[in-house]
Amino acid sequence: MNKSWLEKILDKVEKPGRYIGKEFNEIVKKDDTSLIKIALAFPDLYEIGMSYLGFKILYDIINQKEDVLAERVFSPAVDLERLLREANLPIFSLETYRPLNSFDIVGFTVQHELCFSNILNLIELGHLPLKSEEREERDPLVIAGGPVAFNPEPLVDFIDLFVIGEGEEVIQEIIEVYREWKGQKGKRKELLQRLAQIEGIYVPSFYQVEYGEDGQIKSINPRQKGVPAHIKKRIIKDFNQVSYPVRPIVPNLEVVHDRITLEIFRGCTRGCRFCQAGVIYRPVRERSLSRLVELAQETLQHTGYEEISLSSLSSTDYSQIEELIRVLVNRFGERGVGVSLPSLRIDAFSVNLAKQIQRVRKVGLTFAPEVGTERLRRVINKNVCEEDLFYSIEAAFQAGWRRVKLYFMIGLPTETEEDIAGIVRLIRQVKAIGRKIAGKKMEINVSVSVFVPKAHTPFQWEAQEKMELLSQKLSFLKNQLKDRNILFSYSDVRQSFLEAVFARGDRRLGKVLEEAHYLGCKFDSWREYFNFENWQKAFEKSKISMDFYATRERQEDELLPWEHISCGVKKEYLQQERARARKGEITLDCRFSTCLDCGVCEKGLV
Amino acid sequence: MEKIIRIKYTKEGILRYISHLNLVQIFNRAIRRAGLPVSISNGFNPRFRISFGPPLPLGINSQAEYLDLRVTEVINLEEVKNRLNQVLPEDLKIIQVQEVTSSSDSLAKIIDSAAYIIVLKLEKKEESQKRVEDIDQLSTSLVKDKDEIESPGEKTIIHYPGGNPLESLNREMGCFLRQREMIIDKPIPGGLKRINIRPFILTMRGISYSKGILELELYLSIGPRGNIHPRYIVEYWLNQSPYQGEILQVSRQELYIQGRAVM
Repeated sequence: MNKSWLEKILDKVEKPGRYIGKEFNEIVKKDDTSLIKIALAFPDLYEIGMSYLGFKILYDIINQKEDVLAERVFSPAVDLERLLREANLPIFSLETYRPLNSFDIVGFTVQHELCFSNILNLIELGHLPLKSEEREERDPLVIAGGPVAFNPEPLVDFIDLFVIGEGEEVIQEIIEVYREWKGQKGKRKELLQRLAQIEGIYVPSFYQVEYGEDGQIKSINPRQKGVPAHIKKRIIKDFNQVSYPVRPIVPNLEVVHDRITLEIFRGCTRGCRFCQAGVIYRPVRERSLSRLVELAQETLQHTGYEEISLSSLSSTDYSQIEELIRVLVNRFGERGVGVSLPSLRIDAFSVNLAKQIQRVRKVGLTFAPEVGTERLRRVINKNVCEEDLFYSIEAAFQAGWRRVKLYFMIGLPTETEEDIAGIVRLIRQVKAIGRKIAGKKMEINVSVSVFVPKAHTPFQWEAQEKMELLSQKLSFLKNQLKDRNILFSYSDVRQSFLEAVFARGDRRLGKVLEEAHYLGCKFDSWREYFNFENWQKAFEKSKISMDFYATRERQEDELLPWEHISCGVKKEYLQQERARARKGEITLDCRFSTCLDCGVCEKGLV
Repeated sequence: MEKIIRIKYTKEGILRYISHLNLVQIFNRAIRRAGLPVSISNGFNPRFRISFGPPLPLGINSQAEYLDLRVTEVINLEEVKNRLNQVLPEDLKIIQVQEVTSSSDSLAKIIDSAAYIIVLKLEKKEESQKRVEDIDQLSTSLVKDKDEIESPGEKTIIHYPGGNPLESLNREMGCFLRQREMIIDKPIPGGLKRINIRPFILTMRGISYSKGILELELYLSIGPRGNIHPRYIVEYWLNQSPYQGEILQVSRQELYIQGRAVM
């Protein structure tokens, strides 16, 4: 990328800071043809991508290697995209303005299904052949990882290989194989064959999927010898030893999560039946308290951040959470450094923790009762009761909070009108408690999302509820919750529908993605850019039914598109949990109860 | 005993595309990295007690930006400079540090004018060829500078049959400045705002001209009552002039308090 041209366009775009890099802790390596060049591509804006810890971890690990460089590439906003296309110039990295197509490896971080169209767009803007089969010897290897890799099938036309599971170790193994292959000047196919030998690597072109007349999958088989029938996810065994980025880039402009993300543990065994993260990131692995304090200290020193977020899937479950917060607040609070928890478990213990935390910085309180009735809460295995919620809310207002956030989900299996009415009842009660203590000056933020059945969960066979019904439920809630103390926000049912289609999609959706891309679909997770009509057109043109994927209940013996991707949790366990959901039976967390034989520990990890 | 340390820094290179608001955050974090004993505000969201000079518009380089730090203990000034320079992004550089007597007014309030240098590429407007000749006739009495005028093969050069182009340009700017009102429609979030930009202009003159490249010096009033991006002034002038121009670079040279450079 010509720098003077770049500067010219920077005058014409909104938030040029997104594209220039030059942040503190950015790593710029001197150009050298012998270096292996990896582009870490994030298919969304800078502000979003720079908020993900996984992205920072990979940047750090790769750049620690002397003969390898990692540079960042994000989706350009529409204004820059237009200018690039007009000038026929490729999207470039932030570090050295290097075009995407001049890297050896392009690695996408894929967080959710609604960024699929952006992946295609970014590949095209990088002047790479869009489809894997069109790429030639000299083109970069296009790889992808992240939670979406647990059902990567809709993306297989565009991605050469997927990393299943945690990336810290496997990225290094990929680099080793690549380095050796590069030295021998081998063929692309050979590279893929060698990489496919690594545990956790899935090269989709080596597998064949056959379909029956009913449209369902008949078989998924390796096309050739030497590739595994099942791809097992990668897990970091020693969470204390694994590398953590203590010198993360400090963004020059505001990003969504602009703070230290201190990952206190990985995995969660609470067992909420709708939750994919709770399955795919098992088993639970904690970092020791002393290691966490050490990492916090170092990261603070190297970044100057004023907030440490204790991150995990359920941070109050950390075995020494009270002690950890006490130590961090005592050690760093004096210099104005606050500690925050992303969301709180609903109980008295958590509110007490929050009190400790707010000694330094006022943080918001977020609770997730998820649903409106005890019955449905048992179905989804959210083991909290209303009394706990009311008690927590009361304690929070009494401790001086004036704003609480509540998360709910609608469209869950077995949900009835009573459950929806229950949400209204619950929020009104929370409001009454708030008014009693805080008077008029208080706010309840209510956020309602739509349930999307995800792969590898006990609800993976369930139908998503029809959009019409979901819309009715949302407008009922909206009408019932018109209130000056209540701020109501909700997800777009059409976005959730599309997400549901791709979350359990198969390879046939590749052509839909391509059609949608040519129709201009991008930034589908952004309400202002989401264009459902174009998506409908793309499905019609491809002669593929959206309902087949989103609103159809699967039989438990149906072969699912991700059957060959193993997250370590047994299918029987998921089936068993689904049956318990139907009966409204709670399953206790195996950390505090008996082992449920989900299968993840059989791999000899714990 | 708290003291106030005044810092002069430059903001150059690609980092000029970072907004003032973001810059505030960048300095907050740099101060934390440097471990400087800056006083912290009370309240729900404690912050360092930093007070910034007037915001620098996006895309402009600056040789002279200022901020005040309130420090809780005596600290060597050279050390403040060095420690901050070690932890700032490369396009930000502290060049001078000074202790000032604690005054109640913030930098943003007392700084009242700014000097800018604008580098322009000038070309004659095709359609107004005739007007240029008219203006050029005014300069017939000026001594002809052959070297300046007749470098062959340079399309962008403005041809002045009758005089030194810089003086001619300055003469023209003098006429331009006689206007008491210069009304523009400035884009603001959600529409346009009609403003008179003339009161902002203190002086405006060309300081060098060579081969189609004009260096313009502009003194503008600045402060809590409002600011104007120098680009608007230059564009307004170009609009009325017989030239079309492209702004190649804008840089803030200095900030002043009652006619004296802040530091």
